[in-house]
Amino acid sequence: MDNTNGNKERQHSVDADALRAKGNKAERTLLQKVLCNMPLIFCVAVWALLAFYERDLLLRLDMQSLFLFDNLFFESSMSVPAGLLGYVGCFLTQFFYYPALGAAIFVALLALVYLLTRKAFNIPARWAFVAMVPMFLLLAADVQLGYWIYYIKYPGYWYVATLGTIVGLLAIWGFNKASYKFHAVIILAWSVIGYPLFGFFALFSSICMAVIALSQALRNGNRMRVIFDGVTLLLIALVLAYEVPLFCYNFVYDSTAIDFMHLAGLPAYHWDVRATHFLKSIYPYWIPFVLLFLFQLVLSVYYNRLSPKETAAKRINLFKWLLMPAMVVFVFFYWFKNTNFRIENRQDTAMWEGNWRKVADLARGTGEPSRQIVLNRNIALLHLGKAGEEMFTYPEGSADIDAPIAVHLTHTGGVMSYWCYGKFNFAYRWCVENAVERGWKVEYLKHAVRSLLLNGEYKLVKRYTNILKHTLFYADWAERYERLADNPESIAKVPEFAFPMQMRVYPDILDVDESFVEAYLLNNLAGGYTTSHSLLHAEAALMSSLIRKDSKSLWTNFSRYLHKRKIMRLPTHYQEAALLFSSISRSVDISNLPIEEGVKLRFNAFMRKTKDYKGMKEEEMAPHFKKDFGDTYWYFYFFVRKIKTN
Amino acid sequence: MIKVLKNSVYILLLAVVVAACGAPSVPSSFDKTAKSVTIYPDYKDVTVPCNIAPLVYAIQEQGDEFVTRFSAQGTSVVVGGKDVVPQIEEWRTLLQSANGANINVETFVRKGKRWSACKTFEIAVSPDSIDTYISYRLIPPSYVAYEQLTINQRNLTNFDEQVIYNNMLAATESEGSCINCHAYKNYRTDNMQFHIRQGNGGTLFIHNGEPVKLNMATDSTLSPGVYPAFNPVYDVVAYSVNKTGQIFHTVKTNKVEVQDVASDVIVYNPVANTVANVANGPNDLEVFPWWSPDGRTLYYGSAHFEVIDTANTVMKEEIIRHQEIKYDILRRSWNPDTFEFGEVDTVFAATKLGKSATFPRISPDGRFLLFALGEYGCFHVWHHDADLYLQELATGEYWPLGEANSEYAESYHSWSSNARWILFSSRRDDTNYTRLYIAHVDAGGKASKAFVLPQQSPDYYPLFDRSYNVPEFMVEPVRFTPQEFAEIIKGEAKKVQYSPTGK
Repeated sequence: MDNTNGNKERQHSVDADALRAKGNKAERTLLQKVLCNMPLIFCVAVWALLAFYERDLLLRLDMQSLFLFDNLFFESSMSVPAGLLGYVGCFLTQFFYYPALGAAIFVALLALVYLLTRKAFNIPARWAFVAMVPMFLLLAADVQLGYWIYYIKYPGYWYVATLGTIVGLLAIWGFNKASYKFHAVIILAWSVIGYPLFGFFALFSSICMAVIALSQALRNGNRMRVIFDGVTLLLIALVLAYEVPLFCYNFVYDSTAIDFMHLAGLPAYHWDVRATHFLKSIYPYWIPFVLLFLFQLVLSVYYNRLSPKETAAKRINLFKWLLMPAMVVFVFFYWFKNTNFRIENRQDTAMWEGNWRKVADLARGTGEPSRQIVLNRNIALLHLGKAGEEMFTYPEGSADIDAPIAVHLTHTGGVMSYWCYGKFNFAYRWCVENAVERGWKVEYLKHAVRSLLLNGEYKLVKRYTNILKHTLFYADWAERYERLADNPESIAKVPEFAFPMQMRVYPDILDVDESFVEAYLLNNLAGGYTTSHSLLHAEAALMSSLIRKDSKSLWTNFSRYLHKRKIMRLPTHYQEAALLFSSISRSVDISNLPIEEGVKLRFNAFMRKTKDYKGMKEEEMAPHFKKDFGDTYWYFYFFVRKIKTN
Repeated sequence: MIKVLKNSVYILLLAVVVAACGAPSVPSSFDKTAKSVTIYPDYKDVTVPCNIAPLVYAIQEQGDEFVTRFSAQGTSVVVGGKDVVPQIEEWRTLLQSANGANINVETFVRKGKRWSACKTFEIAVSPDSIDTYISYRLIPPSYVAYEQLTINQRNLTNFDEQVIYNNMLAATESEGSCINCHAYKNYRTDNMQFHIRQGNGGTLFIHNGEPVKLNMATDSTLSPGVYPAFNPVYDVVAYSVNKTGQIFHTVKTNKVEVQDVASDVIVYNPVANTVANVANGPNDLEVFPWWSPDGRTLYYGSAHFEVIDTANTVMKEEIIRHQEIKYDILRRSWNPDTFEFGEVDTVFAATKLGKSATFPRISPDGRFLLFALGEYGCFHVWHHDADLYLQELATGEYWPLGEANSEYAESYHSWSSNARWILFSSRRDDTNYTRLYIAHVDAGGKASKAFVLPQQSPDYYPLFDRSYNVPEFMVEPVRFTPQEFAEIIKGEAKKVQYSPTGK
């Protein structure tokens, strides 16, 4: 069959589909109508899930990305193979600033993948559901990320595979439309021109083109056509897929190792195949990509071979009912649903908004919190002046981070913690360290601006506000901070800065945090490195002593706190701590402290209960105490153990 | 035929558009003002070499239209726009006309219908040419982390820039590598080196055009070679060997202290492939060696630091007493026949001034010692108080390079081969990102106002997220490709042996 015949057959199948569709229209049940609109349902569902359920993830993705309207940014993006994908990916990621809009753009591109898959592989209407598979796989490739959003070094990752797939499908579609005389030229041109722009996706689509040509040639049985239009083209595509990256390595690019040239456009470098934990942990991240490419290869082989006939309807429907639920299950399995990760993101959004009540309340939404959640919660309670009353009423612990890599607070929310506690140099340091490894992101730039501003480094503030002024959505924010840098006297009037400025009461020393944010802050605060004792700082120091269960620093910090506190009533947790530590050491007289009778009675009840359970292990005792005393410092002191500060 | 007609119409339309835009011209009438124009980068009243690339800058004034006229000895170039970007050929003609004289720069600003002329400034064009190439490392202003680093070379007569080596070419996610300390013998690239740390670690050393990867670690030296200095005459290279740590200020804007717990100076003999200790006093920290132009004297920085047990480790004690670590500049004669070093001679006793002097660089004519002077420590690139100083070796007289210095850190500096230009890094632009500045030094040792390395766009530096460090002059480019270097770096390193005599 030559190309003309192929087109006729396609036309025939499309006409037959149209007629059948017309004839059956009246008989369709509601269910059938819904099923006919499966892509629409998919798009609406994904949009809703992303825009609402994953709102804070999208906001964080935007903050963990950067797109600048600037030549240097473009040139820098294009200095690696597949650079255009990263560039456009970053451009589109910025729209997550408005989650509903960003989700709509993403879903629109998935819909385009569906339409182009149908077009590129000539999938008849009856088999259209098959074209949804790439949508599922691309979605899975993104929603699987979780904590990788802080570590993946591929700019615009969220969109790269989708964009790469779209351009690949467009190329295949164009190839199929062209006369076979131009097939070799198209494969050659697309591999050579497409690789620098789209990397692996261009090379892979060239291979798909060749497979389609081979499949078609085999089908029509013309031996010469099999050899030329099939085998030769496949050989050309394979040779080009091997040689073009090597040529580019030697003559075009100077920043990508040869081992990663062929996989440019895929996050190959970041999921380094030589990493020792590859088989255990990293491999599953590849599966959506591998399935995506395998699927496209299968579609290439079956180009023009999917039956549009009525007789196959039952089997097609059965296949549909097996495939679609399987894909839904697949995406559900791949969707990163970790509660703590979601809470951390929501807390981060709330912290930028200054909604401290929300930050604290969110910490109640988990069984065992991560240390980031605890850190954020404590900062919020300090802001609210509720630390002494509420701190130990929340879930406690140090839940393991659900990630195959070591996740440090320095890379996630630690910079925010440092800023809140007035550690501006350390906050800025980690902005820079993170930017060094993963490139500047909006989040690092914003933190850098705030830290430097409060550190009095106005010249440097302007450097970073100038960069933010080249973004689409942060220019106003940058201008506001630039005005503050121009008028430093107005900084003290900004409410947002009051808390960190009160915490910045310590002398300059040479110090290092060894990448452990919470441990550093606790030791530093409890250790009393301060030049003046604001009430806020004194309370933070006392809190740190309580968390560290450190009797040595506790009484020093207690007296500082009492000295600064003008209101007579001592918050409940501090009363609890005073009772506990005085009963342990017995050398401290707390008779002058305003301990309430109710607290004393409860403490006595606690101590009596400990005698009742004498001989039991702590972990056996804990559930018995949780109900009555789970909201006390005593419970935290005795039963919340093995906290791994990060 | 229709196609030809169509094309003709397009060409005609294009010509009309070009004609309508027109070449910029100086307004026929304008008000003269005493206002000095603000420009970035600041190229006002600087001295430039007669072969430098165009000075591109932005006019930072309010206005609707801008015209700039450069004129010298009957030649004039008119440039329109807020970004002043002279064409390279016109600029060269201008430099030729002004060689040894000044270029006058007039700035005209239109606000509404009225044109005004700002106060004219001058650019002095020195007949002293500058070496055609420089090289530098591009690195974020990092603390500890590193990712992509490149060593680049730049042609100073235009804007051509190439990567000499990019560390990512031999890196994996689990095994990255740092690259640093590129150095050349006599400004030429057939004898040069740079280090690779961690993944694929070693020293990429080119000896007489032959590249090899060296493993310079021996049991008898403190570390592999670190800061290098090729002897300009003889076949030896001096290195400091260092055990270095970094620690961070909690408040000060200096941010980082880079300190040596221990450091010595060694020499490497590439012919014998051996190293020998030169200066390794038990309580002395020796660093940053440099040879005299005749190759017979070795200069280096040295600090005397005695542990008095204020902390449980030397590092912690150095952290506590970091402001007490101050370096002098010393020298020792060297006999190339016996490989023996003479007695220690103090060249610049910074400690007597309560200061710390590091990074000695002798001018190629042998007359001047250029060094960085700060309050304490050896890594002045992080010290805002650090400035460049010049000492006349014959008289011992020294002075700060007032016109070249700023209120922020000036550090890593090098001399051009004709000893008339210095190239150094400075944090003056934004306090954090080092940029390369060039200053003229006349026969009397007086420096002119420094100017930043010209770039093609005035927006370049404010948006470029790398610092420039280790700037070195070269008279020719490196000819190996980054990929060729990568292949060598991925290979096995040749082990260097220790020899007490160094021969």
